[in-house]
Amino acid sequence: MKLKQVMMKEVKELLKERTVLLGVILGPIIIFVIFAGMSMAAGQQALEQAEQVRNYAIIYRGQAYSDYANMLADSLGVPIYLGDVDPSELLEDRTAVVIIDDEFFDNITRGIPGRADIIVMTMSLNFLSMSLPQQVEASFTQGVYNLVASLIKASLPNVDEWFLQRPVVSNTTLYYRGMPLSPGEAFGLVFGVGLSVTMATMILVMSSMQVAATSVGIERESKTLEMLLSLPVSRRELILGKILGVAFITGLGIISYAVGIGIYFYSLGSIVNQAPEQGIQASPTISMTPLSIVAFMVGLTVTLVTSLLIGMVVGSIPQDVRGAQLASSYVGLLLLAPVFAVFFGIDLTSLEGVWSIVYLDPVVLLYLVIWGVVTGDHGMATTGFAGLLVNLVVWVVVASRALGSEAILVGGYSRRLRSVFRAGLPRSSS
Amino acid sequence: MDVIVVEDLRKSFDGHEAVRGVSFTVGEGEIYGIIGPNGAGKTTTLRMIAGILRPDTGKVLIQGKEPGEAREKGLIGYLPEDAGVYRHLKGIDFLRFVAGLYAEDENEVDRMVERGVEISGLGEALNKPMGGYSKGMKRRILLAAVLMAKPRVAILDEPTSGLDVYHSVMVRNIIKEYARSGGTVLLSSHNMLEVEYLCDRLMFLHRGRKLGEGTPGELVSRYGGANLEEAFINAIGGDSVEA
Repeated sequence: MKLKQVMMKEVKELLKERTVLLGVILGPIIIFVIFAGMSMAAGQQALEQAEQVRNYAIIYRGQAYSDYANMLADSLGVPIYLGDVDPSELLEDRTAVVIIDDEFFDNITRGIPGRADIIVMTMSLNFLSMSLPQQVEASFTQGVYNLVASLIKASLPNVDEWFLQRPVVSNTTLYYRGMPLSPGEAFGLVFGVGLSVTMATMILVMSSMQVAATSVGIERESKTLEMLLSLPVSRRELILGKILGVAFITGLGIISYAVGIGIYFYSLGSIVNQAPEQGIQASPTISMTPLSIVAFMVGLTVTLVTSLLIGMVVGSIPQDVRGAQLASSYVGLLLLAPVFAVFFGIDLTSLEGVWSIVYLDPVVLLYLVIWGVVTGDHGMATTGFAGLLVNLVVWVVVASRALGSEAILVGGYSRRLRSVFRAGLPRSSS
Repeated sequence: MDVIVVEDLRKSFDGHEAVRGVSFTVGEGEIYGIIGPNGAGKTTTLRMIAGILRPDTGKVLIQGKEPGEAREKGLIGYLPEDAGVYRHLKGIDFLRFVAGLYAEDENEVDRMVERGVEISGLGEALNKPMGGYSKGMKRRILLAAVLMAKPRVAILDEPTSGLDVYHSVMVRNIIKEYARSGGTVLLSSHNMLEVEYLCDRLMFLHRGRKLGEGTPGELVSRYGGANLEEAFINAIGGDSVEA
C-alpha cells in the first residue's frame, strides 16, 4: 500500500514535469511522425527510381546485327534507336542510354563479352542514385544473357560458362545535372561531401544550438537574468553581446572544424588519387577552389549564427538548463531530419507543396550551399545563400523579441510564445 | 524633489491583476519601503519601476525619465529578491563587469570596484569563483554590485532575504549609509521590523492595492497596534494574506 502511494506520488510529479512530458512521452511520437513522413517520401522516390531503371533506351550504331539488336530491345521492353543518334537528346526524358555497335554483337556471337557504353543521368546524388548505373547495367546484362541463352548458345555449344555469367563489359558514365562524373567523383560527392562533411556540419550546428540554449538556461536557472536585465545596457547590446559570446565559443568549433575538414579532404584526395586502376579517378569536381572555400565558410558561419539564435529562443522556453538542452536537442533533430532523408534518396530540389517547408530549415539551406559550391551549381548555392540570409534576419527578429520580452522572466509557456509576436520590453527613447 | 514618481501602476498576468493602481513618490535621500505578504505585488511593482517589466497602464518616472531610459543611463541599481551569481566568475571579476557597464572610463571602473570591495567586505574571497559562496556572501556581493556605482535610485527586493542576523545587520547598515550619502532607496520586505528600522516612509501593499502610506509611526497610530505587524493586520481587516 505504501509502495503504491510512493509510486503514485512519483508518477503524478513526473507527469507534471514538462521536460518529462516533452522528452519521454511526446518527443518520440513527434520525432517518429516527422521521420515517418520523411521515410515515406524517400520510399516513394525509391519506388519511382525503380521505375526509372527500366526507363532507358538502346542506341545501336551498327548495321550487321540489327535483328539481334531489335530482339534485345524487345526482350527488355525498351526502345531502340538506330544510327548516329545524340544520346543527350534521349536523356532529356530518360534515365539512361546504352550504346552498342557491331563489335558488341561480333564479340557475344563469338563467346566474348561485348562492350557497351552506358550513360546514366540523375538529378540527385545519394545512396539510391549511386546504384543507378549498376542497376541499368544489370537490367541490360540480363537481356543480353537471355538473347545469348536462347539464340546464340545454340550455335556455340562450347560456350564458356564464365561468358554466360558476364556477357557484357560496360563503360559507365554517370551524369549529375548534366555534369559527367567518374565513379571516383560520385564516391567523393556522396560519401565525402554528402555524408561526411554534412554530418560534421550538422554536429557543429547541433552543438552550437546546445551551447546557446545552455547559455540562456543557465541565466534562468541560476537566476542571474533579472539582474542582468536591470543593468545599464540596452536590450540590443545585451542580446548581441550574448550572441557574440556564444559565437566566440562556436568560432573555436569552426577552427576545429576547418582543421578537421582539411585533414579529411587531404585523406580523401589521397584515396581517390591513388586508386585509378580500380576505376576511381582523381576528382576535379570536389577540388574546392579558394573562392568556393570562402563561400562555404561564409555559409557555414551564417548557419551557425542562425543556429545560435534558434538555440537561444528554444533555450528561453524551459525554466532550467536541463529543459533548455532537451528542447534544443529535439529542435536540432527536427532541423537535421530532412538532410538525413537526402542520404536515403530524397531529392530536396524536387520537393513541392507542404514539403517545401524544409526550405525554412537553415541546415537544409546550408546543405544546398555546400552541394552547390562543391558541384559548381551556382543556382543551387545562390538559393541556399539567399535562404540562409532571410532565415538569419527572421531569427534575429524572433530572438530579439523572445529574449527581450518580459515573458522570459515571468514564465508561462503561452505568454512566452505569444511574446514572440508582440513588442518586447520598454525601450528608452534615446 | 521627487526622484521616483509612480502613478496608477497596473499589471496583470493571464487575467490575474497583480498590481492594481499603485501610486507613490519617493524623495531624494529617502528610504521608502513597500511591505506586504507574499503575493502582494511587491516584486512586480519593483520590476516595473526598475524597467524590467512593462506596466499595463500607469506611469513611472525616475528623475523625470522613463524606467527604460533611466536604467540605460545608469540611474537605477536593482537587487532582485532571489538573484543568483555566475558560478564560474570570481567575485572581483563580477564587480568589474558590472562597474564596466556603469562607468565612463577605466579610472571610474577602478574606483567603483574599490567601493564594491569595501561594501561587500568579502576580502580574499573575492578572488574565488562565486559558485562556492555562501548565501550571505552572494547577497553581499550582489548588494555591493548594486551600490558601488552610486546609482540615484537603489531598488532592493527583500535585501536581507535568507540572511542570518549578523549579515542582515551588516546589509541594513550598508543601506543606511548609502541613503545618508544622498542615494534614494526603494525596498520591499515582508519583515516589518526591518522596515520599521530602515525606512523613512513606507506603504502597505495587499493583493496589489496600496492600503496606506506614511512613516512607521504614522501607520501604527493610524491603524492601531503595538507595532507595524499589528498595524498591517488591522489595515487588511483580518483578511487572509495569501492572494
